[in-house]
Amino acid sequence: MNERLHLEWLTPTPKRAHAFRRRAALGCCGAWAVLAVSLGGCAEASLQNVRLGRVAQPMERVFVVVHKEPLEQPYAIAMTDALIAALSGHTTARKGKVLTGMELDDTVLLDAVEKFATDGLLVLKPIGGTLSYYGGAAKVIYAAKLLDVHTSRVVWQATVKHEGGTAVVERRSRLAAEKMVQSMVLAHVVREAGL
Amino acid sequence: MRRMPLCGRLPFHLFLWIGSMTICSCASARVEAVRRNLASHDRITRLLVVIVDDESKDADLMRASIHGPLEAKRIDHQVIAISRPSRAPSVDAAIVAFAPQAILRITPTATIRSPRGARQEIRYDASLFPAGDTERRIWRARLVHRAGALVDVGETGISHRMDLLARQLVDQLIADRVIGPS
Repeated sequence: MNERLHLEWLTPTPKRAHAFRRRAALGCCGAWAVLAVSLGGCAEASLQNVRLGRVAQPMERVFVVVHKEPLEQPYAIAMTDALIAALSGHTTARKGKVLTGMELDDTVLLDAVEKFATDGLLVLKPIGGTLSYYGGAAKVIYAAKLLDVHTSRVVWQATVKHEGGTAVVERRSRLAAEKMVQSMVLAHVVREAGL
Repeated sequence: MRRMPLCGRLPFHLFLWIGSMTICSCASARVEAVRRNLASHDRITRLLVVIVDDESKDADLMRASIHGPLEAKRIDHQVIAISRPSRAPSVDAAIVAFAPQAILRITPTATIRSPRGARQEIRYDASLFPAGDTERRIWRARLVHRAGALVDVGETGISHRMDLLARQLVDQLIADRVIGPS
């Protein structure tokens, strides 16, 4: 009797097959969601030790320089792109460059800065970070400085951190860049968007 | 007391060896990515080494470690440690007193931590400038001081790795014909 019942349960019927497919689809979606969250992780960014200087008027042309070392190239590229995008509404012109940190002198950089006729030079140097268990940089700490090229003075500086999954480096960089630009707007170093 | 038979001791020792290798794996000290611009310079025989202190105790260790290899290669030298500012008054005083041909500045650039929070890797920038012109580098290298996967860089064998790093740095400077005996 029991055996017969068991066999009946296993016998596929259209209704059971439909329920099975639905459960399998739900399971797959759940597994994908868990995998995506585990691989991606959440992105966070913060600013610390913000120091402000004085600037005669908001900067309109900003040159962004991001040092690569000790991170891999994609981190520096992501941060440069994110800063240029974040500054887009706040400045009339902006340009970015990634440095390896092994340049013998600053001639090439200074030439590029001069050619661009920049008002401000925003320099980001990675000063530390934390590795994830899989080897990527789960947390990156930058020392950020904005120099007024006309007066050679630092007008804004901060310690910038971004952390989270290594698959969301662009998102982490974007968050950090937006926070930096917000802080610069509050300091009147760059103007508010659309003004 | 009964001793463990040899066949029992061997796996035990093997286990200990594998365990210590896992904990200390990949510990290294190396000089990499050397850049030089020495077209118009003679070999330097009198060198001032400036170590920038990042408030860890590593600067003292580096100071002690670099003295030996420079002494062994018979290079006139003086080593000083300074805090963060790139142009401290003590450097100017040392330049006047010692009259070096060049300044080798060693600066910690980044500290990478493991997921447990231990310092896993410390990177330094070693830059050589003519004594009168600290804007124009004539030689540059990146120094990488790496601890094992599970230990803090300052915990195990740091003095040994600092010695190794200093020796490699001096060897690289000699191999590049940047410095030489007086």
